[in-house]
Parts: sequence; structure tokens; C-alpha cells
Amino acid sequence: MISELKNKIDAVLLKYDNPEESLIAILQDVQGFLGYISREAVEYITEKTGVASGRIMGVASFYAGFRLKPVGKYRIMVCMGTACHVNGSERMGDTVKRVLGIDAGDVTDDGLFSWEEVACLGCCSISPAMMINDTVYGNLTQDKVISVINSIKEEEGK
Amino acid sequence: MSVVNITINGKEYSADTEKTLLDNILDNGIYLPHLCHNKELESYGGCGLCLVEVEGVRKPLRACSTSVTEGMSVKTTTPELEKSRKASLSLIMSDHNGDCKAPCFMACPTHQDVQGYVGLIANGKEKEALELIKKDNPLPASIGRVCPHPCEEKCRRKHLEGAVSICALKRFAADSYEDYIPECAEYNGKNIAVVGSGPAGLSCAYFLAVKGYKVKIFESEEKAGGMLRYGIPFYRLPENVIDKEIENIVAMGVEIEYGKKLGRDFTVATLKNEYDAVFVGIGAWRSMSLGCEGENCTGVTGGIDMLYRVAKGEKVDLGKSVCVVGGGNTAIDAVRTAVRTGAEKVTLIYRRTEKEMPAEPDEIRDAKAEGVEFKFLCSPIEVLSENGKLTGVRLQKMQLGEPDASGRRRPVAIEGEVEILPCDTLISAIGQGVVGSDIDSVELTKKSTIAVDETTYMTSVDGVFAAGDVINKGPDIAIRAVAGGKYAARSIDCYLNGVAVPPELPAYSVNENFNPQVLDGTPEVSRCETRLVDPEKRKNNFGEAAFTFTKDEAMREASRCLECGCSAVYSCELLPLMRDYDALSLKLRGKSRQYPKDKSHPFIVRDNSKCILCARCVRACREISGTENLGLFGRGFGTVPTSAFDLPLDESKCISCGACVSVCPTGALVSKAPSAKNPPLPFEEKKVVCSICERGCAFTKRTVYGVTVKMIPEKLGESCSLGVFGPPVVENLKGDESKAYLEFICGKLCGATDNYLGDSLAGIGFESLFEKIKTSASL
Amino acid sequence: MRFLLGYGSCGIASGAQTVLKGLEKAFEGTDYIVEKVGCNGLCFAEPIVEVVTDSGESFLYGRLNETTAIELAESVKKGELPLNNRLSDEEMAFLNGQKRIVLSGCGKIDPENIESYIENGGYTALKTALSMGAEKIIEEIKISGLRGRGGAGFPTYIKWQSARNSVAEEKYIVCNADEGDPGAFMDRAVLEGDPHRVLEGMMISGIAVGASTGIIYVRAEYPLAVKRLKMAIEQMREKGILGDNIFDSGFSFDFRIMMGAGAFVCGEETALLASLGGNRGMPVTKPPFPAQKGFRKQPTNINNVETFANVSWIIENGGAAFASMGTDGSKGTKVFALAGRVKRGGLVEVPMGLTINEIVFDICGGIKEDAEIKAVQMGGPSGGCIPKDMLDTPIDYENIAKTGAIMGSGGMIVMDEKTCMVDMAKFFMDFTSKESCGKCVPCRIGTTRMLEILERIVKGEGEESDIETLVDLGESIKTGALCGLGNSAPNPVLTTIKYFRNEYEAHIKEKCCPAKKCTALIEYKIDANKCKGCSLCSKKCPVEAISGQIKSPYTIDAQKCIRCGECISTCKFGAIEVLSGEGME
Repeated sequence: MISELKNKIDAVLLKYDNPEESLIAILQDVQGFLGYISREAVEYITEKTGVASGRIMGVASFYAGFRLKPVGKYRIMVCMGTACHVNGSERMGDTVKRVLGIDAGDVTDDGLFSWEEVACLGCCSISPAMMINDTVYGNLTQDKVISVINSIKEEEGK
Repeated sequence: MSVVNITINGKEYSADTEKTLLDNILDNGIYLPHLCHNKELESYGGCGLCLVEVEGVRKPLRACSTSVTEGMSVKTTTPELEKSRKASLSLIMSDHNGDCKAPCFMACPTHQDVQGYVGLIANGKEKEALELIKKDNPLPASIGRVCPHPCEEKCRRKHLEGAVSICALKRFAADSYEDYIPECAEYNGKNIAVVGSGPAGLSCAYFLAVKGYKVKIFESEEKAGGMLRYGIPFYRLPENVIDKEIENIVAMGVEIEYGKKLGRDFTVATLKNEYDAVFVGIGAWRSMSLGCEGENCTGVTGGIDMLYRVAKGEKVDLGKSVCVVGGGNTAIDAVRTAVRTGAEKVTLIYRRTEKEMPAEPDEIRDAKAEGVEFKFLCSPIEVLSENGKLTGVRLQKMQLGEPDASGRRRPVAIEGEVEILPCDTLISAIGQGVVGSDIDSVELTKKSTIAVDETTYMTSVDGVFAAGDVINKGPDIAIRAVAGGKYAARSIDCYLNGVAVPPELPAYSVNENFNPQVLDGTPEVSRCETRLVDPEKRKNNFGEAAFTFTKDEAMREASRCLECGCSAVYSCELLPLMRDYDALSLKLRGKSRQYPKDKSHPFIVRDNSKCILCARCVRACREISGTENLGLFGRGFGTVPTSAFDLPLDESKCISCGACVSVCPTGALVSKAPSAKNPPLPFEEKKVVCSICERGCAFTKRTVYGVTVKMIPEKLGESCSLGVFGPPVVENLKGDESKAYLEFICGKLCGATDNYLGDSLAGIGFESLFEKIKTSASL
Repeated sequence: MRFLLGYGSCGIASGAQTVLKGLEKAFEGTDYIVEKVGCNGLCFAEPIVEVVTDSGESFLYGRLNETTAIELAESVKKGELPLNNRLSDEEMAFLNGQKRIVLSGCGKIDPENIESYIENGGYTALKTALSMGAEKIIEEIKISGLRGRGGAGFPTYIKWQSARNSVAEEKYIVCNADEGDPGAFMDRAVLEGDPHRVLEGMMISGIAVGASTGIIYVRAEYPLAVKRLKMAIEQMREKGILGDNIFDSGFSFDFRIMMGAGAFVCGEETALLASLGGNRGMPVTKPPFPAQKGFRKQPTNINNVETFANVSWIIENGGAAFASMGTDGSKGTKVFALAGRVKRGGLVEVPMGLTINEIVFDICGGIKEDAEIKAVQMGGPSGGCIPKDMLDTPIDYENIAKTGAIMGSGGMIVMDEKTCMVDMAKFFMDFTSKESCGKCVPCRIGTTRMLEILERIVKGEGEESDIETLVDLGESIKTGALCGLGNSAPNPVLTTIKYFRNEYEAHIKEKCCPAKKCTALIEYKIDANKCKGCSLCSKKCPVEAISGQIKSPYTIDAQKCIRCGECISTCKFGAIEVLSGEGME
């Protein structure tokens, strides 16, 4: 497992000739296959590139796009942009929370879902909106939120 | 470098273009507030205090990141800039979660440096501890025996196994160095009259004597000490202890004239004519009467009157059965004294329950052990007598009702439930009042106490001051009288020198949102209680009932101190700014960041609750040390400077160069000398040159009581950790202990970069290294 | 005949995929081809298909689904253009009232095919620019009066000139595509719908400044934009429009894409540069400006997407033509993203100088459910709320600034009486305090404290002195904050206090939310006269707060009720009232 991680990171590092400057891209790639930025990954990047782990963690913890703990297979991002707020996004967040039974930032026990509130997804015209992995769902109602989540559960046979 | 001319606040100066505007302003001797700037670090622009207005620029600029140009004209103070600075400082203070001074210090009426003396005791320096105590308290041996210690109430160790035994530690220090007398200034030609030699009068006289005043105390009794001698039984405060403390004060040049009573032998007015100032501290000697029918019969007496007679050595016969009414410390003193006079049955009557008793729990415990009976929820309604002689008391049974103004539940009579308690003596210990008829000239309150100004302690008569039980609200605990004497003396000094009286306590940061969870993980050490003489052995005599701590007990107990007060309080850059801008006045509330202290590192303590995020440490760790161990993590309000994965410093990649500690403007990163405690104490500083290796780095050496506590390198990053941390190790520890620490440092040095020596130490044995450091530190 | 299907992320989210499936199914075996184009900005009618006849006439069909798409296709196959789902004249006013430069290709060209851009006149401006040379380009931009469209409105030519004047081996062009203003999505639409227009603008800027590398810093939340930018760059390279010695002119240029990692503050140019360098996106003080010391400490010209998207038009049509539109100080057109309680939300590009009313009512058809307009929020978290009676303000940089709001990137959130202004202020303060980088005191702690005060007020725990504290703190933050984010963070609060002080006072003194929005200050109640006892609301209530007997009036348990509004949207009889202040139990 560890050596697999190392191989994957090695492959990522090959893509960038200036690891310090490309740190964000490297972390994005690592998160791309790992789902989050793990301590092992950071320590290995330090070992290979000499970029201080303090610096890497400083960067990783600054940007909302990086996650320092694992996410669910389905990552629900409830948009908290202005248009969505005006149209009731808080309620959508509450609904997700109620249906999944977890707080924002947490993962369900089966590892299937995690959810978070995110900055504007730029889909203001179909607000309120949420994104699950790469798919945007717009014009949400509480019913729609519930049915979207339920249909994923069904697909996954839960 | 090239030189240009700039105008600062309308005056012309020359400036160096290679330096920032801020450095140019500071180098020209003009004060401009700043917190995140440090000359040796790249400018940051975080704190926003160094804002200046530059002519021709619309918005204020940060002087720390502005360069100078020919003809530039800047203003450093405008109403807008000052308002902005105050706002920034208020915001900083709203999330600076530290205590400049420990809660015990804040709680003590005389504001003694508790953390300081407890720390010194922990380090085995009880004499230094006593010297420190005596800066604020002239009667530590007495107070260390009788004080109800409000300091311990606020001790944060209460959140764990129990408060530190602060009071007992003071007694220990006082008993171990009872001859100490502070240095007094030369006679300044002014004479002060002090009326009364109780804790207030003695304290006032002491502090005036230190300042060079000639003080004469007028005492109506044959001996001095006031309530300490006549109101507190000898088993708690032996006569020889109070004698010794008075002797020390007399040795400072204070004269006491005995048998002279105010209102009989002299008046305030006559003293006022003869002296430059007068202080009145005559106490409150009148016992409050019970206020119930039949109390004017033989056998009924006041608590303080009874204690006074016993203390004077009069033969006091209270009979076999004694009842004392009251719930305070005087009531306890009365019952325990009654036991010692030979009474067979002693009962304390209190109208509430034990929980509401104002007396100290320890005192109640000790009284019970001596056989005193407690009768709660009873109140006397009638004194019964036959032929003018007391036979008993009729009691009304009570129950607790709604809380009153003091928050205690109010006792309410249960209709019809009464009982009769027979007794030979009934003692009223429900409070004392002032005998106002003795006092002339000054204005009195409705309670016959002397009305004084709360800050200056001055009475209605110019130049006449008063403190202790005789003023305003009346009787209080002894330490408040000591405090009153102390602050009145200061006020007298100000008065005679024509300057305004500063507040008793200057503004300090107080961590109001203290979260006890940050104490999680503190090793458990139980409180060391004062050892007592066995009840059976103590109850029939007036010998002292409690023992002084042994040195082992004291050191162990003192080590329990959590060191809540900031060790950077004397070097903090934020504190003076906070005071200058009155930054606590905005009263901004809100969430605060509280982190546990990281004490893992042998020489550095990190307390991020105090961090103001100036990022000096982070920049020093990157720019000076090159390790990038400390970084900023998270963002926004929750940003925190720490090492990767939030590791404790000693597990992180810290190379112990000390740069972060040198640059921290607050107490978030402080060095610790490897002694048991690192009490924040006023220090002395001296420029020295390190001689450990041939490099000869310049340092500022900081010493407390002659011991090196910190080495501050003149130039950041040029000196090794041996130079920074070595001298405090060698001076604070014995050979073997310090060897372990030095090995630690050398380990760090070997792993360090070329910035640090390393080779130059190779081959040196510890013996000679030790010697080298010693020489270095003594230079 | 052409079929142009809006295939931006919002179109896809609205069901463009199923529409495509329907059309392709219906057209199977015919010559008809469906072209996937970017978003044409008529977001209110998505998914949208534009049918362009061979004679060039254009018809828009909106709100399609698979079935209606098939119906449309079948009709077309029969040679008919049906009326079903065709946008009405009134709806077409949305498009007809606009003047499109930046958006001219959106919804018209296939963003995944460079030929489509070239057929529509793409890259001719680049050729022209190469022949003009740097000085003339900058002169033309100066004549055009183009100002930065990212928010601050700094004259573009000065930035270019300044970067040109800085002497260095290597210079950079950076496109700020980190569109983070909640409520603004024009950059996403342009990048998804017409990426080449932006790339061409950057290259022309490269010629002017003397740079040979263009970096696009784009939000990772815009995956489709990233994908299309990458495709566009690949196709440019294949076409020889990128690389060394382009068009034999001696000019060389290449692009890099960097994905942002989620920090609003990176819209601030110095923070963006820090981020490009692999650091935490924390702003630094200026000067030095990026034009002197930017990426890798080299001169760098940073403009935002919309600014670059104007460049090719200016080069082709001349600066004077651009300057003929707009007002004295603000030339050309501006794209606005309309959202909120407006009837027809979407992207609107109009000449500067139109009033807000003209945009909201004439172009966007007014307020949903014909409710009363209350205010328009402009400039997002850095902007402010402009009240109803000031909506005749002509839109240009200076006039908008006078209201206390800012032009910003062009987000316009329309609010009606149901919007609580204190809640709005709290919303933006919550946003900025979360997005504060944490470097400077005024922003880091100041926004937090302001937010805490607002949170207290909406909970009904406000104190009378809170308003003054907010104003004082707000002004100090504006003075003392390090960067634009902090300098402007108090604007939403300060403008709402300025124009809607009565709402603050109602929350504080009367514990009443006039808009009936703040859940701590409202109560739901069933009007027994209107309730038919149908029990629908009771079934819908997520917390079982509604109870009663079928066919008799139901009641709400105020303790259990979470004020989620489900019952209100369920009730067919309008029986559920919302109370605040007076009348509450």
C-alpha cells in the first residue's frame, strides 16, 4: 500500500521540474488519486523534493480545495453562494445533514458520502445548487435533495 | 545606500533609501507603533499599526513596507490613524488569550507576585522569595498564617486536584528568613503620623519608611499589632511571630508610641498640624449586638471582646457551656478559644447551613475536630436570664428561602418552631463596627466608618488618609488592610510630591475565556496540606496548631504552580501599546483561540493562545534558521503558527536555534531556563561577548537575582544554540543534570547547518565545555 | 439548418444532456447535426436550443426536456418551426436589449472546435496586432478607455504600459480566472463558451508587454472551463497559432494553466502571484506592483477574463468604436450576471451607463411573482446593497462607487421584500471572514468580530450600541486592512446600515425581522380559517411539528418547528402565516 502510494507520487513528481513552485499542482494530483492529502504523502514529497513539510502543510491547510482527511465516495458540495443563499441554500445544507446524519466535513460510516458547504459554484441561475463529485444539481428543493441522495444509495445497493 | 530628505510630521530628516520608511522613522527617534515588523526579517504588513499618511497618496500606507523617496512627506499621527491603531489593538486584544499576571496576583488585594515567589520557592530560593514578597507585603509571617487567601480561590490548579497552597508557601518563606529587612531610602525630611498599629497602620508605616519618610505610630494598647494580636488567637498566630514582624518594622526606623489613644490623648486635627500627613488605621473594635430581647445581662459578650481579653492574658472564665452566634472567622476563633479556656460544651449557632458559612472550610474542619458542635438554621430571638445572669438562649428555627443580594439563600423563620439552649456564656460574633466617637475632623459614613476616596485613600481632610477596617464598608480581611496601608502610603507619597495617584493595578490582559481543557494532560500532583497538631493535643492550650512546610514540602507544593502569568510580561511589546491606546476599552467580545501550552521542548515554551499572528517566528524560522519548521497553518481567524502536523516542538524539525523566541513580541514563544519554574521577574540586562568558541558572538545577557535566564543574540541567526541556551543551563543546574541538557544542544548542533558552529566543538570534553560556558556567562 | 445546444455547466445541470439525447435520437439517420455551444446567457430558460435557418433566421427554444426536444426535432424534420417552447417576444427582449462583445461568441460557436472560432473571425485581431506592434496596441487600448473588469476598474493600458516599461529577460501575462465572487459567473460562461477569445486577448497583451508566457489561473471548481481551455490550447498549437515564431512574426508565445485550489483572496493579484509561486495565497503590500515584480519576481501583467475578452474586438474595430459606447469615464460594455429574485436571470452585456432599473426591468423582466423590488446587491462580498430608490443610478465605476457599492466583477443579486438585509450582511461577512487569509489584524479579527455581532443581531440578541460598533469597526477595517478583500469587506454591512438601518433597529429593539427571514425571530402559525385539514403539511414536516385531525385545522408546535418552510410550499390554501415581532407567542 505504502509503496503503491510512493510509486504514484513518484509519477506525479516527474511531471514537474520545479516542485516548490508547482506545489499546489502536485498536491492537486496527489489528492486526485488519494482523495485527500495524507501525512504519509506529505512526508514522502518532502523526502523526494526537499520542500519542507511545514511549508507543504501550510499550503495544504490554506486552500479550501485541499482536504486533510478522507472524503466519501460521493462528495456532496452544497453551494453557499449569494444567489443560492437568497433562494434557501441553508435549508438544503440542513436537509443533506439530516438525510446523511453527519456534520459538514464528516464522512458517513459506510464511507459512501461526505458533504461540505462550498463557495459559489457559479451556477447562480439554477440556484440553489449542489455538486456531487463532478455533477451539478440545480433548482434544488428539499425533496430533490433527498431523492438525489436516495437514488445514489439505491445504485450502490444500500 | 543613498540618502534622501524626507519630512516627518512637518520636520525634515534625512533617510536611507535601503531601509524601509518605518526603520527610517524609528532611526530618527520618532515613535511609531509596530508589532509584526522586525529589522532582521522581511517586512510583512500584518499588524497594521505602522500606518502613516503620505502626502499625495489617498490611502494610509504601512510604513514597514514603504520605501522612502526624495521629498516624501509623511504624518505618523492623525486622528484617523490613531483611531485605526486603537481598533487594531483592540482587535488583537480581543483574541490575545493570555494573562499578563496570574489570576492569583490579580485576586490578591495587595497584588503580591505570587507566581514569582512560588516559582522561587520551587527553585529552592526561599530567601529570594521572601525578598520578593516583602516588596508588597510587610507582614508575610502573620498573613501567611491567617489569610483566607482569595488568591487560592482563583488558582487555576483548582480545575485539577486543588489550588496551590499559596498561603502556606508564603508562611514557609517568611519563617525561613525572618530577619530580612528591605533597604530604605534616605530620610527625605518628611514626617508622617500613623494612628493605629494594626495591619493597615504597620503596612502604611513600612512602605513609607522604605520611601525615606520618618513615621511615628500612635498605639493605644501596650503592644502593637492591632487585630492581628488582639483579634486572632495565638494558636493561629503566635505572639512571637507578630512580635518579630513588628520588630523588623521598628528596625527600619519606624517609631511606635504606646498607650496613646485617638480622641483621648490627641486628635486628627492636632496631628495634622504637626505632621506632613496623617494616616488613620484604628480598626473596628465594637462587637455588633445580637439585637434581641434580654441581651443586656451578665454572661453575654462580644466575640472580639472575648478574644481581646484572652489575648491580653486576662483570666477568662466562660463557664461550662458556651454558645457563639455567627458564621464568620471570628465566630470560629471564638468557639476554638472557648474550647481552650476549658469550656466543656461549645456550640456555634448559625442561621444558614454550613455551605453558606463565610468562615474558611479548614477552620470549620479544625473546630469540629476540637469538639465544637454546630447548630445550623437557628437564630437567637431571646436571651434568657435569671437575676441578671444568663441561663440560656431561645432559638428560632429557620429554613432557606430565595437567594439574597449576596447570592446566598436567605434564612426564613419556620413559624412556631423554637427551642431553648441553656448556656453559661453567649458570645455574639456577628460582625464589628467602628467606634466613631473617637474620630474628629474627617467625614464619616452612615456606618460611622471614615469615608475615603477609593483610589487615593484620602479622607475629606486634605493630607489625612485612612485604610483598613475603619474605612468605607468597614471590616474586611487582614490582607485588605495591608493593601489599604500599602496603597495609602503610595498615595501619601504622591500627595507630598504633588503627582496624581495611579490606579492600584495597571491594565493587564486577562484571559477571561480561559478554557480548562487546555490543562488536559497536566501530570497529577496532589495538594500538600499543612500538617496540624493532633486535636487532642492542641485543644487545651494556645500553642500554634499548624506547622510550617518543610523545605521538601514547600518545593514540591510550589512545583504545582501552573505558571499562568506570562513570563514575557516585563519584555512584552504588546502590553505597553495596549495601555497607550486603552485597547481594552472597546470591549469586543467573541470567540477566542485557546491552545494547550507546548512545554515539550527543553528550552522553549510555546503558548499559541497568546499568539497575535505577527508571523515573526515563522519568518525567522524560514529566513534566519532556514528550517521552515514553523509555518502558518489554516487560514483566517483560525490561522496558527506551528510545525507540520502540529507536532510538539521537540518532536518537530526544530534545530533549537532560538530565533523564534528572540523575535516573538509577546509571550507566545518564550525561553525557559531549565529550572523547576521560570517565574517572570524584573530582570537586569548586560551586553556580553560569548567565549565558547572563537566566533565571539555578542549577546545581551538577562539575569534575575544574578542568575542568567536568557541570552539574546545581538544578531539573529549568527549565534549557535549553545551560546543561546548554554549559560542558563550551566547556571541553573548542577553538573550531571546540565550535562544531559548540553548533550541535547550539541546533538542539535551536529545536525545543524553551516550557520552554526559544530566543528569548533568537536573533540571538546564536557568538562571543558562546561568551564567554557561558565566563563562565557560570567563575562 | 443548424441546431445550437447550450452546453455549459449550468445547461448540463439543467438537463442539456437529455435534450441532446432526444435530439440525436430523433435526428438519427438524417443530416441534421446538433452543435454543442457555450452558454448564451439565457439561464432562465435552460436547456436551450437555438435553431438557425439556412436564411440566417434564428429561433430560440427553451426549457426543453427529452420529450419536447424530440417533438421539436420531429417538427423540424417536417420542415416546420413549432411555436411550442419557443421563447416569447417578451423573453427575447432579454437578448435583444443587449450589446454583446465579450459574449458575442457564447452560444454561437463550438468552444471545443477552433475552426468554429476562426470562422467567426477569430485570430484576425492577433494578426492585426502583430502588424501593429506594441506601442500601437497600447495606444489603441488607451483610446478605447478599457478599464479592468475584475472589480477595481484600473485603466488597462497603464498596466500594460507599466509592464512594458519594466526591463526584464522574461515577462508574464496572467489571466485571473479565479472568479470567486458568489453570484458572478460571467467568466465561467466565457471560458466555457468562447475560450479562444480570452487566449487571443492574452496573446495580444503579450505582444504589447513583451511577454512570451501566458498563465491562466482558473478555479478548480470550473472543470469544464479547464477542459475547454486545455483543448483550445492544444488546437492552437496544432494550428501553429502557438509556440515559436507565430505567423512568422518573430513573436513566440505559450500558455500554462494553473488550477486554483479554493481561496477567494487569490482574486487579489498579489495573492494570486503568491499562489502561482506555490505558496499560501497571502497578499503583500504594493508597491512593488506586479508590473514591476510579479511572477518569479519578473514583470507581470494581470488582467481578468472579461478584460482580455474585450481586447480582440478593440483591435479589430478600433479603440474609438469601443469608446463610443458607455459613459465619459467608463467605456464599452460590461457583462452582468443577474440572479436572485429576478424573473429572467442570466448574463446581460450592455453598454456602460444604463441604469440598474433598465437592466432589471427592461431586460430581465422585473421581479419574480411580480413582487416589490427592495435592493440590488452589486460587487458581491466587496460591494454593497443599492436600495430601490437609487436604482436609477447609471452604471459606471464612479456612480456605483458613490452608492457605497462597487462595480466589482458584475454580479447583480436582485432582492425583494422577502430578503432580510441584516441576514444579507451577515451572509457576506460570513463569506469574507472565512475567506480572510489571516495575515492582517483588521481583516482577520475584525471581520470575525463583525460577523459575531451580526449573528447576535439576527438571533435577537443585539444591543443598541451594536450598530455604532459595526460602523466604527467597519471604517477601521477599511482603513487598516492590507488588501482589497479586507478594504472592502465591511461594504455590505456599511451599505445596509446606511440604507436599511430601520431593519437593524427592528431586529435589535423589537426583536423582529421585517422580511420574516431570520429563523430565531419568526414563528409559523396555521390560519385556522384557511386550513382545510388536508394533513399534507403534517406529512411533509421533517420534524413532526405539525399535528391535528383530518378535516379540521392543524397546529404547529413552535418549540419543535425548525422554520424550514416546507409546509408553506406544500400548503395549497396559503394557510400558513409567518409572524415576527408583534403577534408572536
